[in-house]
Amino acid sequence: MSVVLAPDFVLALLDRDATGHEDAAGWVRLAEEDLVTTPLALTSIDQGAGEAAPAVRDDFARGAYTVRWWADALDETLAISRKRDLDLVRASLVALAARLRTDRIATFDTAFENLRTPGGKPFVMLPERNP
Amino acid sequence: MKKTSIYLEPELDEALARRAAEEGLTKAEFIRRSLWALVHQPARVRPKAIGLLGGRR
Repeated sequence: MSVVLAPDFVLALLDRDATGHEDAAGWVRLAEEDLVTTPLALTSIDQGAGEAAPAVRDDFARGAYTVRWWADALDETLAISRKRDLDLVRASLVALAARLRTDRIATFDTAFENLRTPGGKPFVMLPERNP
Repeated sequence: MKKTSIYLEPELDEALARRAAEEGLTKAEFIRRSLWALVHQPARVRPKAIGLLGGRR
């Protein structure tokens, strides 16, 4: 199964002071799923990574993360952005979830608590939080 | 071949038998093929860019 990878998750992994860093690091060391994101999210990660950007690019080059984009991705992203009043990065991740037929997303972004997949399912945010 | 004995939960044993039957294989052959596939599966590539930033605390 694939997991959609949001930019904030990778940035939390990078930053020892970030909220969720330890949870993210622990989870990613054990995760067996493919971690997949979009080119829009990759750009956001790259811009947010600062001096660590080259190391993150290496992780993408090595295949630790995968980038997916497809013929109708832009149309789908724009439609989701308009319909749900979302920025393009988040909208692209919702579109990707539909493409991958997954409801699992690696993120601490609370916006996803209230978002649903195009199939109408709530997102399962990873690492799973204790209530 | 080398003989190996392992303990299985009854549920796993039943599931193995069921899947083997679906594939038209003996349970032993199904287990052998599954283990071959597992040990030849490439290890998942893990990110290395972890904890490179921060350290204010």
